Amino acid sequence: MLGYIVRRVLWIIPVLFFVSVITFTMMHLAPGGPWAREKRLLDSTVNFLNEKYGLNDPIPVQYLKWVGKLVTGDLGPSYKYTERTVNDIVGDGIGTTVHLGVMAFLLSILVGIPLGVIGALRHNKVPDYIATFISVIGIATPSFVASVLLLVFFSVVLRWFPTHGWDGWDKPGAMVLPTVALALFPIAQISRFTRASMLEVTRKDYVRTAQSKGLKERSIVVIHMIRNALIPVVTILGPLLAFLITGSFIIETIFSVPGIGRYYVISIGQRDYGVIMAMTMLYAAAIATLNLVVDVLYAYIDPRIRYS
Amino acid sequence: MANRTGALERPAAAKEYSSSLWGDAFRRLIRNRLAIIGGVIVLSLLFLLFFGPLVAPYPYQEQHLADLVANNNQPIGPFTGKYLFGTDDLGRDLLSRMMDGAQISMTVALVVQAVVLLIGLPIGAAAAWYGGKIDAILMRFTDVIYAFPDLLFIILLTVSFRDTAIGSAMNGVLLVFVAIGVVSWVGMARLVRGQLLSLKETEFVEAARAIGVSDFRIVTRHLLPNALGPMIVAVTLGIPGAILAEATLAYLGIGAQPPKASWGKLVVDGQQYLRSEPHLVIFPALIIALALLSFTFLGDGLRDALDPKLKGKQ
Repeated sequence: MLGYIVRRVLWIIPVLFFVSVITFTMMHLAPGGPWAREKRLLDSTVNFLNEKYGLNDPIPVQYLKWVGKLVTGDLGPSYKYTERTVNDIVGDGIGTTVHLGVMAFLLSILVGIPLGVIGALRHNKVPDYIATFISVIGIATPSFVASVLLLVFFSVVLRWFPTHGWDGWDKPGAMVLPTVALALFPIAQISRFTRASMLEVTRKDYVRTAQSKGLKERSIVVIHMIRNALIPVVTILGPLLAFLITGSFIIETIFSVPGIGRYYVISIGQRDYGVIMAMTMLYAAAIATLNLVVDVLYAYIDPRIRYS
Repeated sequence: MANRTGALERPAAAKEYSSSLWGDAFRRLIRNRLAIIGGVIVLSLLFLLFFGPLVAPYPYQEQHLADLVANNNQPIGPFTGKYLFGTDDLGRDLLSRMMDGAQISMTVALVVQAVVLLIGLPIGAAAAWYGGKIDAILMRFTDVIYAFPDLLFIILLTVSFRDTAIGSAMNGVLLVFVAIGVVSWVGMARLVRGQLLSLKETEFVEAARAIGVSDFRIVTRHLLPNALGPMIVAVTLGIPGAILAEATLAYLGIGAQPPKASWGKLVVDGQQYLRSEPHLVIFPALIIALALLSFTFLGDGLRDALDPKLKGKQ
C-alpha cells in the first residue's frame, strides 16, 4: 500500500510537467502578445518590454526560466496588473475559491446522499419522484442559468440575500447564493449515483440474509446498505471536488466573489502568461492530488480492494 | 433422401422470435417512456439542425423595427399573437433565434462526439490490442490529458486561437467544437480499452487469430462491433456535457459571433431585461434544459436496454 501511494505521488510530477509544457507551448504559439492594447504601443516600447520580461528568448529558454523560478516559489510577474506579482494575485484569491468550493462540496454531500437514499428506499413512490425531480433540475440547469434565476428570485424579488459581495464568515448571507448555485449540479450527480448504488445493494444476498434473520429495518439500511452503497459514490467525490474548485469561475464572475477563477478568462485574453500558467498548474495539481486521495481512501473504506 | 435439395428450408417462424441483442435492446428501449420522450425531442432537435431555417417563422436576424417602435422600443412579450415567444431588444423573433441556436447546439452534439470517437477509439483500441509498453504509454498520456482542467483548457484553446484561420471558420464555432472534443476523448479511450481487454481473451478472437486474420481486421470486425453497446451509451451521455460546455462558453462570449447566437448567448443577452421581460432568459434556459434532459434520458434508457445483466428482468 505504501509503495502504491509513493508511486502515485511520484507520478504526479511527470503529469504536471507535461501539462505545463503543453500549456506553455500553446500559450506562446497563439498569435498576439501581452502588449496588444486598444492604443497601440510603439514598436520600441514593445521591444523594450519584451526584453525586460525575457519574452524575446526562444520558448524553451523561457520555459526553463519559468520552471527555475517556480521551484523557488516565484510565479513571476503579471503583465496586466503590473503593480502585483502572480503570487499576490493567487495568494489573495485562492482562499476564497477553496472556501467556496469546499462549502459547495459539503452542501452537495449533505443534500445529495440523503436524497439518493430516500429515493432508493421509497423506490417508485412519491419521495422517489420528488428526489428524482430535484436531481433532474440540477442536471438540466447550467450553473449560469441557475445563478441568474437565484439572483432574481432571492435577491431582487425577495431581498433575502445580497446580490454580490463576499466577506467570508463576516457576511454569511452573501455566501448562500453562490454556494447553492455551485452545489446544484453536484447534488444532482451525487443523488443519482447514490440512488443507483442503493438499488443495486438492495438486491444483494447479505441484505436478504439480514432481512430474513429479522434485523430491524433501520439497522439493515444504516449498517448493511448505506455503508456498502456509498463505496462507489466515493469515487466520484474526488473529481467532483476538483470540479467545484476549478469550475467556480462563472459563479465568481456572476456574484463578484473575489476568488482566482475570474482572473482566468481575462488573463487568457490579455496573454497574461504568468497568471495563465499559475492557474493551470494549480488546478491540474488539485485534480491530480484529489484523484489520488480518493483512490487511497477507496482502499481504506473497502478492504476488498488491494493495490499493488 | 429423395428430395434432399428441397427439404432443408430454414424454419422461418423461429427466426422472428430469436432474441438478438439489438432486437431485445430495442424492445426494452421502447418500453421506457422517458427514453422515448427524450428520443423524440432529440429527433426534433436534429430536424431543426437540418431544416431549422425552413420551419422558423422569421429569419433569425430579421429586426421587426415597426413592431418594436409600436411597443415603446421595449422587447415584445411572449404569446402576443405575432411572435410566439416574443422578441428581443432589437425586435428579433426569439423563437426563430432559438431554432437557429439549435443548429449550433446540435452540431456541437455531433461534431464533439465525432472528435471523441476519432481520437478515443484508436487510442483505446491500440492500448488494449498491443498491451505492454504501448498500453502503458498511451494510458499515461490519457492521464495527462485527464489532469487538465477541462473548461479552462477549452477556454485557453479557443481564446488563444481565436484570430487564426481555424478560429474564424464557421463563424467561430468550429474551434469551440474541436476544443471541447480534444478534452473529452479520455473517457472514451478508457472505455474502449476496458471493453477490448475483456473481449480479447474470448474464444472467437482466438479462433480468428488461429486462421490468420490480420490485427486490424480482428479489431475492426470482431472486437469493436461487440463493444458497440457501451460506446453508444457513452456517446449519448457525453452529448449533454458538450452542449453544456458550449452554452457556458457562449455565456462567456466565446464562440459564435453576432448576429448568430447560441442558446447560452441568448441567456446572456436576455439577462439585462430579466426584471421587465423575463421571457428572454426563461425560454432559452428552458430549451437548454430540455436538450440536456432529453439526451440524458435517452442515454440512460439505452444503457438499461443494452445492459445484458438486465436481460429477462423487466
